[in-house]
Amino acid sequence: MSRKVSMLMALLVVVTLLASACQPTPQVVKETVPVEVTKEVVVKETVPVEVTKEVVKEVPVEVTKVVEVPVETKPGADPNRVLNLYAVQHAMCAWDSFWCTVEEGIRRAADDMNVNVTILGPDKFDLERVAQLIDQAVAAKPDGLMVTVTDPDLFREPIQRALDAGIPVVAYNAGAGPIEDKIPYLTYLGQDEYQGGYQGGLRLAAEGGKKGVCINQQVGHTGLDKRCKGFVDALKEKGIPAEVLAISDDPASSQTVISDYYTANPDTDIFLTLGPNGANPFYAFMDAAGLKPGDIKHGTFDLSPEIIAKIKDGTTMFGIDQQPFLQGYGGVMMLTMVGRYGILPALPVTGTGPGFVTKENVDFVVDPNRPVNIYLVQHAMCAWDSFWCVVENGIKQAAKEMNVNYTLLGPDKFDLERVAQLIDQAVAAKPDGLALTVTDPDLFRAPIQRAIDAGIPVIAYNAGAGPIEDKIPYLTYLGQDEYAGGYLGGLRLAAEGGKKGVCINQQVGHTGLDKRCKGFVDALKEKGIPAEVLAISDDPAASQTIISDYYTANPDTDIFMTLGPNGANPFYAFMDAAGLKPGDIKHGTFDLSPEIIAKIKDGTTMFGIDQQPFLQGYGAVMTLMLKVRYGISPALPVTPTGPGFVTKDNVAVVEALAGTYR
Amino acid sequence: MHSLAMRWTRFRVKLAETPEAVALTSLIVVFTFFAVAAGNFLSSLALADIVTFGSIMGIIVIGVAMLMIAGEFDLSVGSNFAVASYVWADLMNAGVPPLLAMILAVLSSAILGAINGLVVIGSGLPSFIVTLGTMLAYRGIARAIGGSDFAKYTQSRPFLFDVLNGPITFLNRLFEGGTNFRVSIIWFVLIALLMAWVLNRTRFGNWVFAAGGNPGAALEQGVPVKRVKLTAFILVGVLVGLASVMQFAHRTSVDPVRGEGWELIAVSACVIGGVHLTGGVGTILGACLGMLLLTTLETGLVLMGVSVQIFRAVAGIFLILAVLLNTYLSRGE
Repeated sequence: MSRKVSMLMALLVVVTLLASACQPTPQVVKETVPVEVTKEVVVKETVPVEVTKEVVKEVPVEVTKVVEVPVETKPGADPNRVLNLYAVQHAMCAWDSFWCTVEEGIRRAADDMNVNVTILGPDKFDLERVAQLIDQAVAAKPDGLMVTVTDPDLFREPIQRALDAGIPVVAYNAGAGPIEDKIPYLTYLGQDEYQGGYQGGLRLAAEGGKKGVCINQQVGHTGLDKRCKGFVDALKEKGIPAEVLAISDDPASSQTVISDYYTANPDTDIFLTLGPNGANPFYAFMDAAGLKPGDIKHGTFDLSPEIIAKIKDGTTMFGIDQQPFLQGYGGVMMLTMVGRYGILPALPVTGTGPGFVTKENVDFVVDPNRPVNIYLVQHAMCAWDSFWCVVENGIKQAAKEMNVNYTLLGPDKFDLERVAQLIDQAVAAKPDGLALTVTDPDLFRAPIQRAIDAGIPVIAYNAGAGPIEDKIPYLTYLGQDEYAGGYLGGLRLAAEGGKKGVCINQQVGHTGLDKRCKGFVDALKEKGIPAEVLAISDDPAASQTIISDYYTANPDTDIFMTLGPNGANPFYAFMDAAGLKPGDIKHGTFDLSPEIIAKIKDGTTMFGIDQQPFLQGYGAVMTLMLKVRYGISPALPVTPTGPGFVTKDNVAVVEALAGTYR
Repeated sequence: MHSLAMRWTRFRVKLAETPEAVALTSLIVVFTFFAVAAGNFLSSLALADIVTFGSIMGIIVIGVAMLMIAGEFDLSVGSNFAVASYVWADLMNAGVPPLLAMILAVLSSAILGAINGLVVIGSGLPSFIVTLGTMLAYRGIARAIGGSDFAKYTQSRPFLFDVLNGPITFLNRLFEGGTNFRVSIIWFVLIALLMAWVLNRTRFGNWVFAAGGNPGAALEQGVPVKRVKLTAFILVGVLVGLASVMQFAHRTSVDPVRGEGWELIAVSACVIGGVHLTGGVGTILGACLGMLLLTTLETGLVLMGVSVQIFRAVAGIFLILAVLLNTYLSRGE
């Protein structure tokens, strides 16, 4: 008898043991504590200019600390918050090796930013299970959720439930952005297909050419068609005729199609293929036609062993990579920004690719522990311009989290010539990376070019217009996307319809401000609402009169966009004078000021658009770190840090963190 | 000491007469464990997830359990599930009214179930082999109908969708936001009650037990064994079809691999719930508890942040433990 009882007991013990084995083990977090902060002042004898040089020496001290999962998560943003994030994806590293890179990105970011991430996925391709996992992740009440939007129709309802529960959601790897997917998540991190084709086209056509062709194995596939459109647009911009050639996924017949095309168009010298299924028949065609590397130019999307071999031997100029590591890393980073600082992703689609793999970087060796020493040069400093304190906090925070050594240089008063000298001095220090404000591209072009020629990765932040407009081939510019700010703002203002919209511009002719108005007008036209630009000046009284006169002439105007306090303040004065109440009209503005924040709170102003300077500093360090350690290049010429919309919902957070993080 | 042993034996025999005892005990143990160990497990969100996810699979499990009691297997339920969703989606997209399309979809599942039954009865082959074959064949049908692509219904939701599997709004409102009790739970309970009644209170129910327990003796007693088994196969088809349209009414999208692997989860739920692999023994309640146990495990592990990859391992261990316990309890004197 007792044997039977003990058997039953034994079984119970086994069950209990199994259960306790599944209990979460306390997470050991290694914390890097900055031990020594020295601040040296370098005084040049000849020129009495002070250069503030801050060297943060970090000695990694291992502190074992048990992070307890808080039962109640704090509402709103909190810079010191321990975040618990969930990532739900349709495939796993365990059975699809592509995902190992994505998961590695997630884990590295979690480690750097000191957040907890739980990665969930089915144990085989099973989208219904993924939908359930999203629901189960929501039940865990995480501080943020990353999801692959593999099937927007299937996932719409569970993702919406997460959003309704106040959980910030970003999509990664699979999706098309909140607008196309019709799910109002924050952003989608993935490849920008059009930009891939466009930038690829620019590279292929850089040295000219006679005729280009985009070889598409699946005409009608939205993503592939976008790639070809970008390529054709880029070549046309360069004055080179280009067209699309449809092949199939069958290699033999595709080779024949390409061969026939080349016979009919023997002057074709630029070829873009959209993946191995286009590249392989293309290589077969080259062999059969006896074409040598150098006879023609070829670029392709995606990488495969064949493509890598052809990049090495010079046949193929580049392979375009979607940079899956960045999809994981960036997803965690964005949710951390939202959870800790209330900083929102700027655009519906955040490009992680195109990343160009060329002969120069095809052999790049990833080393997550590579020491990173970077220099940053900016035209103003926290010491005398408080705006920059927020940027510098971003730099400091990222450097601490990612264990990056940085040196920050800047003049002690506004002096662009001095900044140009500082750039040269930074280059002489041979840093692993250089970030700078391109305040005056003409003045800075030569020093920046010297850095690039020395093989130093260079990025711009806060001031600049991107490598193409600035005509300096640096990697990317981190700053506000002005057109997108106007466009997305316009969409918000017009969401509930309207009769007529006006963009009140205090400096017509200023490129940045004009872009904002163009975006606004385009968005309203898309919604079928007429819109135009009203020119005012920086003089408040005169501006108020102009706005008032305009409203008298156009009394049906109900959507107003202003481009900063200099537009918003006369607008508020006009509203008071005209007796307009919040709710009578809709108003949105760029930038923030105490007046604007008060008006957001009382409902007069729907939003203030913030360029999110913290993210400019943080992102500058992160972008260079990713380049040095992981070989990841920024996907787009402009990496937007704004528009960040400040509304009634998050204005309290912004106010609380103003001056330090916002 | 001796009397204690006697009492234990008597208790054991009594337990053996209620095959769901092991499943119920395990469910209570697992539930209590997660209630203590997993954060947010006792939230309306998590509990609603368990019953909502469990209800769709549960409807399939009810059919599979009845068929197993009748002594047969159906491994094609996952493939059949995909076929029904595709049929319904494609018909609706072709302009067939939703209700008519739904009836045709469930009918097509019933036909696939009937084919299973006819082949098993006609050929005399084990149903395990026959339905292994039709699992592959029906999957091929689903892929062919779908053209290896998703099928979606993107027009506005017809009222039928809410009848089949809409959110139970008034109930969800009583709990915190995001709580997702759905109508499929009601259907699941109704079907379970109906089938339990059929099994225990009708002549057909008796025949099912007889056909599975000892077909030879049943035949001699005048039980139409072949007809009973064919009916059970068709019933599985109908229930799979119903589960399929309910899920589609919720998700409005289906992919070519939908339902792959569900056949074994269904069998596992039945076995954990005390249904014998050899037929003749089992209850609907037990099978449903087995299914709830599996969904509870899944949800609990997710909430604990345990890798999803571990779920199958844990489920497998529970399966073996349950069979061990069931065998021990029902061991002859």
